[in-house]
Amino acid sequence: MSVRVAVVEDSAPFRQSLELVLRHTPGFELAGAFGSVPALERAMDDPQARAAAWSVVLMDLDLPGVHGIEGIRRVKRRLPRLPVVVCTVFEEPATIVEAIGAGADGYLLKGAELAALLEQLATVVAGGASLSASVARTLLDVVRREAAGSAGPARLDLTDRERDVLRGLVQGRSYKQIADQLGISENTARTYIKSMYRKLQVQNVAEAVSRAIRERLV
Amino acid sequence: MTLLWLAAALAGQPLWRSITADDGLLSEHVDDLALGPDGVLWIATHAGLYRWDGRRASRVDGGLIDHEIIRLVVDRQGVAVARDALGGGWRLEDGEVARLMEGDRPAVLLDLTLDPAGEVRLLVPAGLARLRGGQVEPRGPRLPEGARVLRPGPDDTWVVGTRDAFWRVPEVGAASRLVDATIAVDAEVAPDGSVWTLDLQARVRRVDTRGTILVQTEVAARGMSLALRGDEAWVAIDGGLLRVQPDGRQEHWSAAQGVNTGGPLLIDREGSVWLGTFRGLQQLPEPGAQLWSRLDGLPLDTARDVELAPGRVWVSTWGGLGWVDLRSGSGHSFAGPVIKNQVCLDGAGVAWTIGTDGHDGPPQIVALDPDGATRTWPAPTRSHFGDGCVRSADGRVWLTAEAGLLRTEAAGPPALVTAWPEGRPLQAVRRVIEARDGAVWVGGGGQVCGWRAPGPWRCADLPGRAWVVDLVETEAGHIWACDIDNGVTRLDGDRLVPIPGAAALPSRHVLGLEPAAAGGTWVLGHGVVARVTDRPELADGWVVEEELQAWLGHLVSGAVDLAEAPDGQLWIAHNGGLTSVSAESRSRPADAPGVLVEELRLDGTVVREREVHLPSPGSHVSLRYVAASWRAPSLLRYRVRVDGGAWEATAEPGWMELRGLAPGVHAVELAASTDGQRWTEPPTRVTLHVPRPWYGRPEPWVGLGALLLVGLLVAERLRSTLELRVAGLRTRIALDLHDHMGSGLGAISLLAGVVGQQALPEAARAEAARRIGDTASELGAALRGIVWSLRPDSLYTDELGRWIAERGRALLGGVELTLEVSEVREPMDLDVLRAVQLIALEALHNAARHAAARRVRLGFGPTSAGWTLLVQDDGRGLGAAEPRLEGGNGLEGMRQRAAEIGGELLLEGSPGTRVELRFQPRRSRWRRA
Repeated sequence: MSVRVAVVEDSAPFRQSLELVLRHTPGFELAGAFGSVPALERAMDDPQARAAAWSVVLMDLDLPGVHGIEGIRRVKRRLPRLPVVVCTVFEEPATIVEAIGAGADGYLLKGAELAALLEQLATVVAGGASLSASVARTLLDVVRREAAGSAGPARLDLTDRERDVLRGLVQGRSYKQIADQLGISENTARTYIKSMYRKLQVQNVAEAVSRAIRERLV
Repeated sequence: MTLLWLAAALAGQPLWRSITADDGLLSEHVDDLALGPDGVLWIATHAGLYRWDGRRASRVDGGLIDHEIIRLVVDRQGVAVARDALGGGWRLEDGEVARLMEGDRPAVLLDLTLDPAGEVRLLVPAGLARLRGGQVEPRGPRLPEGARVLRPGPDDTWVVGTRDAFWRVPEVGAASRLVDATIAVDAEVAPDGSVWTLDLQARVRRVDTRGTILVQTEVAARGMSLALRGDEAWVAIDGGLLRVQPDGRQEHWSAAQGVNTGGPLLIDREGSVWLGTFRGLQQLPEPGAQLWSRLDGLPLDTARDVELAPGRVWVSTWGGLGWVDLRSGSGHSFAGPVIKNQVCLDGAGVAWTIGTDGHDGPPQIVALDPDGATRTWPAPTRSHFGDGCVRSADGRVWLTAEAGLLRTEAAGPPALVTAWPEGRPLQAVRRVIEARDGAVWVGGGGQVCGWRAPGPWRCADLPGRAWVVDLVETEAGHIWACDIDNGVTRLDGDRLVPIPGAAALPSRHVLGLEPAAAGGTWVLGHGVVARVTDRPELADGWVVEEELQAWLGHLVSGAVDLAEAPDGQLWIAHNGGLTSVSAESRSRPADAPGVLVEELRLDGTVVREREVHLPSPGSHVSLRYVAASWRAPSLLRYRVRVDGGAWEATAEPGWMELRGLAPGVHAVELAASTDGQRWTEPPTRVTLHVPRPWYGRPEPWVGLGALLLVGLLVAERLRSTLELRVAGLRTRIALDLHDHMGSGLGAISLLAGVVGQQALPEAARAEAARRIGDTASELGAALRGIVWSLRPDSLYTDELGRWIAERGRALLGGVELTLEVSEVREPMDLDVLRAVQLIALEALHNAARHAAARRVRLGFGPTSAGWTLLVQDDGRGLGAAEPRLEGGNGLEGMRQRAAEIGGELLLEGSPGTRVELRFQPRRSRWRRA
């Protein structure tokens, strides 16, 4: 039985390359290619797409509208047993940790060789875990820091909302714009911001954005 | 018990003043009088209620005119309470009249009075009552039946009068009968605790607290009212006044003494006796002062000199010599030589002077013997006036004449002792004195000369052209002279030096100087009878020890001479005649008058409050005030101090203004005095709250601080927002770059892997190879796009328009492309530019790759609501163009990017596709033109 791969990727060249690869690689099948998380969700809700029969979702992170990490959560809420493998260019520790925390079953970097990519997909579908070598190394560093008690990104414990708000700040949005985007009041947004400041140990927006960018928190 | 029947004892005239319709009273029928806590007189008349502050009567009745007020009191708060003829009670406060009520019914009053604390107490049919606002509250001891008079009694008791007696009523316990009466009328408690009573039969009794009658007087008249002045009683009867001493001595004043009728009586703080009559209000400022004039038998009113002799007072006038008989008090004109000069008594009681034989006869030396005989000798002078005399220490009398200085002898005519110094025009010598060292000093013309046997004369000249009119040797041994130009001068070597204190006298017309028995010198003149002591070491040169309060109220005009009786009684010669002032009157202290603020204006607007908040530091406050004094308004003086500082005389009596007060609370205190010794206590106070200038108040600074803070916060917010945007843009671009490059290279890597697969069909291999090329090409284009967008020159609409057109031409080769790109140049924000750039690229890619379009319309330009990007093709439309991709990829991304810049993305499809982006080139409102 072939591995049915659903691809969520906003980069058309990469997405089309994956399509080509999956069409012409024995044992693999393209279940669907989506440019955004909402498009994926619509397909999952569409009986004709037969999402329950998918083997794995290959998820980019930097997606328009809904971030890939949120996409992982949404997939896991709908189909908890459906493996999700991140395929991204980002390899910052916080992103890796957050993605895994959100439920990712694998974390692959774009630029990996085709054979390695396919092998790792197969591993995940078989119930294993798959990490690019550099991702695995990063993860080990994180674990070591955790063990040493240092306040690394993994210890920030930013909530989803706080991360959404931080992301809005990084994107240059005002409090009101962030609140509107998240469907919350401006005061609530401020509450999240304060909480997020405390966790990031920063005093103002610029510091928060600076740290978020430097450590790839969003 | 003493029963005395005494006739009128005085022959002079009491110095009455009258307040009538001319002073503002609409009715001269005075029903009652009361004194306010500020010393102001309240006058109840048939035509309303008035306050009279000594300057003007102002009507304050507020409707009480409709009721005949027969009893009036004013409490310590200045609230007037009145009883009308029908027993109704009224309360007047701040011009508002209210009827007194007992419960819900109008109260019936029998009498009312003030207790020692100044609170109103009422006599009502139920007994004693208090007043609470406008409500009568019966409360107090049980009263005798038929009570009709209520007065405060001694030792916290009440004196209550009934039809047949006066009673002493304690607050607790039974009433005791004080004395019989035939319809009680009035009562007062004397300072010694005895009670004076008056009944309708005009019986005046003084009784002690056990009811023992100490004094009783009777006249055939109707008793009307009673008032105490010190320890003597003044009683109004119909047709006159009784003045009853504590020992029962009595004077009866009637029309002959200027009393119109009987009526309500009142003694004010200054001791004036006020009598309300049917013909106006009468004031007797000082009963102890009486006036003798031509009406009383003197030759003329204009008195020049006065000399005391046993049993009589000699007074020389411009019309001749007169005298007052001290036993009868009657005035007389001297029949004999015409004497208009000074009269001096020698040690034997002989009065010496220089007169004339008839009005036009030759000057004569005149000796008036105690037995009434008159002796005359020719006088060595041609002048009828201006000759003086003085009694020498040896009992003889010095006389001045044109020839020189004469001295009387025990027998025979006075002898010429010395001629006047040569070269000195002393022919018109006005005065002569003998100093304690025996030197004789004379004043005449503009000089003062002294001589002591056997030495020569030495003289000093007055400054200016004044004439010396009197001399005196002070207790300090200085010779003072007075004139009508310099006031008072002191002889200093050969000069006469003005005494600075004289400048403060009401007038420079100082006409007389006399040694005072109590020490010091009497200074006499226009508006002044003052006793001063010589204090050359002080700035004023003297100290005013006494000003004649007793004379206050009488028009002082040209006091020229004064004689002092051994008992302290003064006799003053002046332009209006001869006035006597009793020693008791001299020593009677007069309370300092209260000061009333009649008007307070704040920046020209009258305000009623006496505690005023100024609207600004520059506000101007003016005060018009008056002292409640009636005895001698001309002697009133005022002083003011601010914030407890030094007292200062007000520049203009009765008015002052304040400007430029420092911020804070200021207490302005006003005080008045008639003698310069006793001042209003406590002073009248006006409180002014002066605000700080705006720059001195915290509010503007707090506001400014808040504004600055807000400004700083806004600036910080702007700064951080800008910083955020820059950071966000930088992040966005970095992510774009990273994503594009990473994804593109990743795609190439994958495709390269596919190409390398052995089993791959050739067609797929070819496609993979083609895609590698396309991807590399797109990567290059994306990279160029990013780099282009980062150029500063690119941030304009026309630049973006050209870039879009160029990309359209590059991507849509073989398609009929219609370009509608505006050349309008507007600045753009980088994030907007980047979003429009990517949306345009996405739309062009769709049109080029998926739509199979033949014609594409590419528009970019301003509209009325902003800017619009339009990519419209005639291809397969949205629904047909690989829906699973288009629906979730490009369109989603475009919508997201449009939302991020606040733009609006409109999509229409089938047939063809129309992508329209509406946006503003700049998102920052504050930077929008």
